[in-house]
This record gives sequence, C-alpha cells and structure tokens, in this order.
Amino acid sequence: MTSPRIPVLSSAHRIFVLSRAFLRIGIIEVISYPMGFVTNQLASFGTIVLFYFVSGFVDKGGAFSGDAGAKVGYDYFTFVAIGYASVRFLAAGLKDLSIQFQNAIQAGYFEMLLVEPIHWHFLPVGLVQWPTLQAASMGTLTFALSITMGASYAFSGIPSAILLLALGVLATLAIGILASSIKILSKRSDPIATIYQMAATTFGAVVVPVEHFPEQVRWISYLLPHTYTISGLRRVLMPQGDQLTGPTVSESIFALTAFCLILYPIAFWMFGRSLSYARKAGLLGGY
Amino acid sequence: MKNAKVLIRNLTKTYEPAPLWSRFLVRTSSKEPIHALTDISFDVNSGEICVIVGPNGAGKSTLFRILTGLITPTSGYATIEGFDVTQESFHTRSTIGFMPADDRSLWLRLTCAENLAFHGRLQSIPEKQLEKRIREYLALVDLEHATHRVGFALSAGMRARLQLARALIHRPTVLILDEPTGTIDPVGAYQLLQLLQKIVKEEEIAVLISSHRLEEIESLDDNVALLDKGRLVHWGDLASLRRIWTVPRIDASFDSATAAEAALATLALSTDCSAQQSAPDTLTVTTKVSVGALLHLLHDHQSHITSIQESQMSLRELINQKLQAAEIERQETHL
Repeated sequence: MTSPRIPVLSSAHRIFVLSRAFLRIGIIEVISYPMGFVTNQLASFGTIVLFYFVSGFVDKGGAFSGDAGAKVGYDYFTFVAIGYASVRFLAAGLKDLSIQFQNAIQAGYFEMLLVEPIHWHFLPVGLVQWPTLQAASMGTLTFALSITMGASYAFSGIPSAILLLALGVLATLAIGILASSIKILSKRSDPIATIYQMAATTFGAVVVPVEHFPEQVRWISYLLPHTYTISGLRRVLMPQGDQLTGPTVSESIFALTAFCLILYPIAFWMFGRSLSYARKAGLLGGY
Repeated sequence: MKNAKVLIRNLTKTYEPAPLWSRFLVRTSSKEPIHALTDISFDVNSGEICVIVGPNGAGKSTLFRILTGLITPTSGYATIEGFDVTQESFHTRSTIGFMPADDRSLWLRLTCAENLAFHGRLQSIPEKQLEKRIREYLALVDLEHATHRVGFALSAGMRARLQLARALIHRPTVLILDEPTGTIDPVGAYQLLQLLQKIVKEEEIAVLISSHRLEEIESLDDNVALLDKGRLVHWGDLASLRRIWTVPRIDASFDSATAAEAALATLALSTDCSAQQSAPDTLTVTTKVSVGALLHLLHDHQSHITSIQESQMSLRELINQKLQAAEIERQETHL
C-alpha cells in the first residue's frame, strides 16, 4: 500500500499553507472586480454618514436626554457608530461566508474544492478568511471615519475591544457554518443566515439599546452574539461606557465564549451530516 | 503481475427519491429509485488507460463521482492505491488527478499560473518547487505562452489543457478524466490524447477516461468498459470486443443490377451468409466464411464481379450491437 502524500507537511505548516492559498484567492477575486469593490465600500461608508445626520436630528429632538441619554452614553453618534462598525466586523462569518459558498456553488468550483485533499470541515474556514480580513479593515476604517465626524472613543479599551470582536466573529462564524450546512443541500436558500441576520439587525442593539425593546421580545436580543459584542464594545470604547445598561464586559466575554463552545460542535456536526447526506443523495457539486 | 491502481468491486449506486423535506430545499424530479450503477467490477493497472464508454445516463459520471469521493456507493467498494474511496476519501484525493467535464471548475478570474498555484498549494507541493512545477506543466500542455492569461481569455481547448495540467501537477498515480475532449475541436482533441498517451507511458499512471468520441476510443486502443443503464456490458480490450462481435462484411460490386440480383438469389439459398443489395449493382454480405469461400458460393457469377472488398464493422455498429444484445438479455432475464 502506498502511503498517502498529505503528511509531507506538518499540520501547523499545512494550515498556514492552506490559509495563505485561500487568502490569495480571495484577494485575486476582489481585485478582479476593482470597481465593484470600491463602490461596495463607499456604499457602506454612506451608512455611517447617514447615522451622523440621524444622530444630529435625534440629539436636537432631545430623544436621548435624561435617562434615555444615559442608555446611549449621552453620545448617540458614537453609540450607533460602534453598533454599525461592529456589524461590519460580524458580517464576515455570516453574510460573507454565505456569499462565498454560494459563489463557489454557482460558479462551479465548489466540486473541485471537494476533490482536493483538504478536510471538508476546513472549507468554510478557508473561504471566510479573506472576507474576515476585509471586514476587519472596513470595520476599522468605519471607526476611523466616525472619529473624523465627531465620535469619541476611549482608546484604552482597544485591547478588550479586539478580544470582544474576535469572540464575536468566531461566534457568528459558527452560525455561518451552521447556515452553510443548509446551503450545501439547498444551494441558494439560507434560512439560518437570513433569520439570524434579520434578528440581529432588529434586536442586536445596533441602533438602539436592548432596554428600548419591549420586555416580551428582549429575550431575542440575548440569544444573539451581536448583542454581546456590541454591548461589550460600547462599554469599553465609549468614554461613559460604564454608565450604559445591558450586558457588562465580563458578561459579554462569558456569553460569547459560551456561544463558541456550544455552537462549534453543533455547527461542525451539522456540516458533516449535511455533507454525508449530500454524498449519499448525489447532491454535492450540483447547483 | 501488475498492481491494480484502481480496483472496483460490485459497485452499486441507487439514488433514492428525495424525501419530502428535501424537496422544500431544492427542486428535484426523482420520484422513483434510479439505479445508476449495478454490480460493476473491474481493475485498472499502472500504465493502462481504461476508456469508459456508454450512452448518456449509462452511469459514467456516477462512477467518477464515487471514485473522487463526491458520492457514496449503495453497496460494493472501490479502492485507489489500496485506499477505500468512501472511507478514506481524504487519502485517495491526494492520489488522483481529476479533470471534470465542466471547465467552470477552473477559477476563470485567475491566470493559468494562479490556478495551478492554488491547486498545488492545496496538494501540498512545497513552495520552493511550486514555481518550477507550474512552468514545467504549463510547458507540457503547451500553455507556456498563456502563463499570465486569465481563464476567461482562454479558448475551450486551452482551458481543457489547463485542466489537464492541474490534474497532473501534483504527480498523481491515477488520473480520472471526465470527457476531457468534450469541448475541443477534433485536432485539439487528438493532440490532447497524444499527450495523454505519452504521459501514461512515461509516468506509468493508471487512467480512467470517459468519452463519447468513437475515434478517440479507437485511437486509445486500450481497455474499454462499456456501460449501459448502469451495468457493465463489456470489459476488456477493443480487440476482444471485435473478436466476439464483429461479423466480417464483404461488399461485392457487379457489372449490372441484373447480375447483382442474380447473385443475391444464389446467396439467399446459403445458410452461411446474409446478403442485401446496398446499391443497384452492389451486394453487402455479412458472413463468417472467408472471401474465398464466398467466391466459391458465387462461382456462377464470378465473371460479373467487378470488385470485392472486405470491411470491418465500425466501432459505432459494434457498440450498438453489444448494447442491443445487452438490452435483449436484460429483457429476457426480467421475463
């Protein structure tokens, strides 16, 4: 029996090589459509400009004065800028991974990826690398842009913010992998990502604090990694973050870690089951 | 004895109708079980080319998808280099070079070199060797001049050659080519097959190739697996198929239509051959007797014969006859 060729490289080195290979593909794909890349990014910056004007309108109207003001740290623009920039970061694991999978299936190279000697569980991780890097840079630029527009941040909170963002991205990636397991079978529809995205946009504390929602629906917010990431970030990055309501930094870190510990085994199990079923039914590679 | 690089034993694949819940995910038309492969067994050794032939729906793609790990068989097994293609798919995928029928499997926004580099990295080709290997294999498939050209800018033939380079660059011991010449012009297809034969000879690799082009099957002149409705109706070299199935055919031309008709009447009395008038002055005789024996039968008409010629049954007819016989056999079994 001939020995397999894979162990030529050590596991750690192989992960590095594979990551770099996927990263390069992502970069080449993006620079292949430069205008599309630039316009997409400009469009996302447009939203922060919109929030700048909305916050000016809200502040003038006195909507966030007194107790309500305390809930947004008396600075609605910074409050909402953190919410929006975080959404940019967290999109990588969820929306962008879903797009990557759909592109691979529709363009036809997904089948070829499955024939390569890589563990299939690595595929979502490989495919999401460039979107994560891209989302991180866009999120950072969004923060930077918001500073030029008047947002104020406590820079001492950056290390904690990086930890929160990393955990948030990891937790949403687990949901993304869960969503991909459906996409392998459905090819296009993506119920998990769609429902999660909808819930996160509405109840993820992006533009208003969780306490603003009626008590009956507040539990939805606490089921979303978005809520903990955004709330934690506001606590560490806003100058008056300690006065905010909602989950504390340690609660957020604990919740996000718990999400990762619970969701990853489920996500990879589902992904494996989905691949097994697709292999049996002959659905892999089709579109 | 040669080593069986690919070993296929009693391989069967039945696609069950999609359950109701999965029909909500994606539209499917299957309501009855589809027997894509039934009890297929054969081997492919080092340095051999096995041509998988069969009409559409014969099971060729299902067989390839099982070998590449994309589909699991219902029963039976297949091994590549001793590794089970279902249980040890991860290992077999590093041993095979696969060229799918669809050129969409290339990253068409990537250049030829980038396509090969990506695949090479996934195949664990050390970075130091990668650039040299890319140059070597692009030269092998005559795409050196297109190294930095993106996939979209390549012709169908060039894309096929790039796919072949990709299938070869990690130096596999088994090559699986699904209709590699399907989109290429006949000259390009001929060149690609010439190249393939050269590589097989030099590298001693085992090749499974599916094709609809009969001239290609003939030119490869190696083992043929003839599939029909998921069953293996012939396995062996083309010569053995011809020996079993070819009935020699003789075309005899006469100086007039009347002479041809008279000869036809004489041959009608013989049990050794069957004749028909293929043109007013020509008879086509299918017979197992020699030309000499036929001339003996036509002794009284010899002075009217202007030419006589033995021809071999075309591969198309040969395959068609074999498929028809398999169908009759299947129907008789069901009765």
